[in-house]
Amino acid sequence: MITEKILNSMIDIVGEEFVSTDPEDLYIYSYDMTEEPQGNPNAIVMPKTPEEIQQLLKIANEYKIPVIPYVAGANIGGLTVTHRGGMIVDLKRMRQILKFDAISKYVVLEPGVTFGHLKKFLLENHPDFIYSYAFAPPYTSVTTNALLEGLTEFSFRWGCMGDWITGLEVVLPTGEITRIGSCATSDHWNMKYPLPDMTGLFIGWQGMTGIVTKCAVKVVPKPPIRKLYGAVYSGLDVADEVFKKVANTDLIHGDFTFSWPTVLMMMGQKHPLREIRDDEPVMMTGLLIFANDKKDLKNKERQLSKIAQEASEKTNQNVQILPAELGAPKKILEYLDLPSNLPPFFEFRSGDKKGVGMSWLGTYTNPNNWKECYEKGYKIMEDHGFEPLIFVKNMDSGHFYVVRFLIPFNKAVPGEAEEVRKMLEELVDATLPLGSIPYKCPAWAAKKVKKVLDPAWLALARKIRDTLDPNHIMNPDRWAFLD
Amino acid sequence: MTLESLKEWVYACVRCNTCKYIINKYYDSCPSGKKFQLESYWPSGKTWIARGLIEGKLKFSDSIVQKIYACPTCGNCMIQCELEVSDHILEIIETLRAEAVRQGFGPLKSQKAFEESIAAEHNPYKELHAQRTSWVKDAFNLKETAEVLYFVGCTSSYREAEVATAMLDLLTQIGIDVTVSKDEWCCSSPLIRTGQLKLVKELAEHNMEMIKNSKAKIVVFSCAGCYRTFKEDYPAILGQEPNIKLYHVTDYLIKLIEDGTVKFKEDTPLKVTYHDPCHIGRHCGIYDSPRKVLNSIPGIELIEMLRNRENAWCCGAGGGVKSGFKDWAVEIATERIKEAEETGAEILISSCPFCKRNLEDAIKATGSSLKFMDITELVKNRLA
Repeated sequence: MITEKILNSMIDIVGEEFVSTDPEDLYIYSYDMTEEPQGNPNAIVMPKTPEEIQQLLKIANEYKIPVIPYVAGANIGGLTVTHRGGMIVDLKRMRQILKFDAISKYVVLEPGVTFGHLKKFLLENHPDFIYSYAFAPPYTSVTTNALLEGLTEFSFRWGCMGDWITGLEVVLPTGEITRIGSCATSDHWNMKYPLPDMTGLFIGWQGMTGIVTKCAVKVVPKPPIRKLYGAVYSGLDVADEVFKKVANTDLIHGDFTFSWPTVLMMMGQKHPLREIRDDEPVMMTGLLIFANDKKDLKNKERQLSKIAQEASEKTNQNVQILPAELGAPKKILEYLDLPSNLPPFFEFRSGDKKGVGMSWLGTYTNPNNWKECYEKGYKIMEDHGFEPLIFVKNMDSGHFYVVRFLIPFNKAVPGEAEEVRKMLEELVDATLPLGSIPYKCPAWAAKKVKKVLDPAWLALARKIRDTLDPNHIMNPDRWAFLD
Repeated sequence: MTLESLKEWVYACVRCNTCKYIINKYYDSCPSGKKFQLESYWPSGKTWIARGLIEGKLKFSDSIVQKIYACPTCGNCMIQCELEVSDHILEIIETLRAEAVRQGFGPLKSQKAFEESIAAEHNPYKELHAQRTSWVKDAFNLKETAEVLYFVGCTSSYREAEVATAMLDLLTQIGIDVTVSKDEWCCSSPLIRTGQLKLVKELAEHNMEMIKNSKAKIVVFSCAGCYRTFKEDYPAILGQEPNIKLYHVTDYLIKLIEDGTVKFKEDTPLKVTYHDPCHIGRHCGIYDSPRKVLNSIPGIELIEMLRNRENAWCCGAGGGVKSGFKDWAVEIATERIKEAEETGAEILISSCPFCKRNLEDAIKATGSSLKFMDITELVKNRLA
């Protein structure tokens, strides 16, 4: 409950125009694009500085008010929808790019900086450097993507985006402002080491341990040559073989694999999709190669062809790999020029009744089990009347994979959101025993994860939370197993 | 349009945030969101307000009115959004405004005066109708009827008469059989844009009758807002397409340049930049004609602003913002003036008297050395 007195204190901190308890504001922030049921906050507040956040958190502690950090609300996990009221701290006004270091190769961002704005900044000021962008619309936050351990175009080579963080400034739940990494000793934000690595207190915690107000992330030099190839597979075995083999080479920097129904959707086909013919591929991969020169590229192409040939011979299934410009539809190439907007995904089930919604179960999974995960999920989606739109990705050179079940749905169709939730629950039940863990994990899924969690891990996590946030004000709906 | 009629589209916005900035270029596109920041001020937020009202989870209030009127209805969001709902965003905002008026919450206080003034004097400026053509010099020797009717509009008639004078000078100098009508009434744009629809049909019917009486075969507009209203709104209001050729002056000039009627003299070189008015640009798709006109004038060098054509930053005057949010309107225009200054141009050209009004206010407010000129003034000055 936010009383008038509390509200006036919030207004004193950030100014009247950046605090709202208007019903329409609470309504808009009470939903996201997923099937998550409505959850109303009590107020929205838009701070501009870490000091303002510091003061807000002191108030939140004093009055035990839940605090929900927010930038774009496009996390596809219901992660900014509160079911305990509280204040949404919308960080959109904090969108400065504070520092760029070309030698140590990092950039320091405020949380409101989006992929689009970082891309613009690099293109205009440091065109020799690139960031790894998410397969997402351009105006989502770089910082929240990294803190939520998101995946991006070069995750094949460099892992999830939490690994790109080299320094943080955080306002702790109790109001202290601290820096994590080498920036705790100087104004160099390039190293998490050799101090004890405390970035883990904030990465993956879904905003339960503080509000990050500055985030340093790596940038990488733009390679002289970047070329995209497309691979199509006649079966999952040959795909598996190719995935494993390329992960043991230095050939690939980025990959995106889509089930064939997903490819059809990206090419503009809508629900209900036609039946897939037996002679059609089962999956398609975009493989991104970096090369120093044409000779290097030729050599890598040769190695890739050899891998394809050996994988075909071993599995008796076919794989065909071609430069993308020779085979991939233009539309798909546009979507892979990241960050990019994704109308066919959002509107896949928008028909006579115009309605959009997007949900997913994204899992980080064991490479040994990805096929089983994929096949079980494929069947569950079909059983629920949803096309098996599935995305697979090789992460950190094959140390783990992503298997993500994409679920566009139609919010204008009564009951469809509820059906999506049922299907998601089945997907979690099917994939959890295979060693898969949901990322950007919704609260309902966290309750299922609890069943397989080591109790000692859980006790430690609770201890950390209790220490950092004694009043449990920070995003208390998240990671429901901590309650 | 009623709130209920929006039901088809309010579930079609996923709040992907793409409407907020210029696609693939990442510059600001939405004056409202940029200024006020809360989700409810962005185009997607307004769509969701409509959804909340339709679902009965929200009720009209002063705060909703503040948010739905804090928008110059520039339509930049419709360009950036790539979902099916994109074509309906302005319709959603204008329907929300009309519904707010119907329920007694809208428009903003300063905008209510439009309706009273238009009802009494057929213009929103509280000026006497009898003075509408007082800017017309006797030298024009205008007849009651002519081949071409120049629909002047209220802003040029009462506030920016130099545009009207330049336009009439220009057309008479090149021998066009043109007239203006003392019986012209407000096109109704200020009313439609602010949701005050009570008088709109009467105004449209009157103006169409006035055009009929003028015996004109062609109607030419120097005001982007009037042109947009005749072209895009009148067919829906009247239930039929106007049975007459309608030209914005930039399109009309192209016709006259191409058939040799308009010829230019050699003159001193001048660097200019061009501001696309939302009402002819994004709302009607006129981007090439003004540029062709400028490029056909000897000595004129057109330098584009960073955001141009469909991505142009709004001048900030439209959609009732000039009357409802005076300071903010000039703030929006100031951003445009800075962008124009960055081109190195000496003159900022546009083709709308309402844009002129607000951009000149920003020039004054900032002390900019930039000069503003309507395209009709430049063309008239450079006639052979």
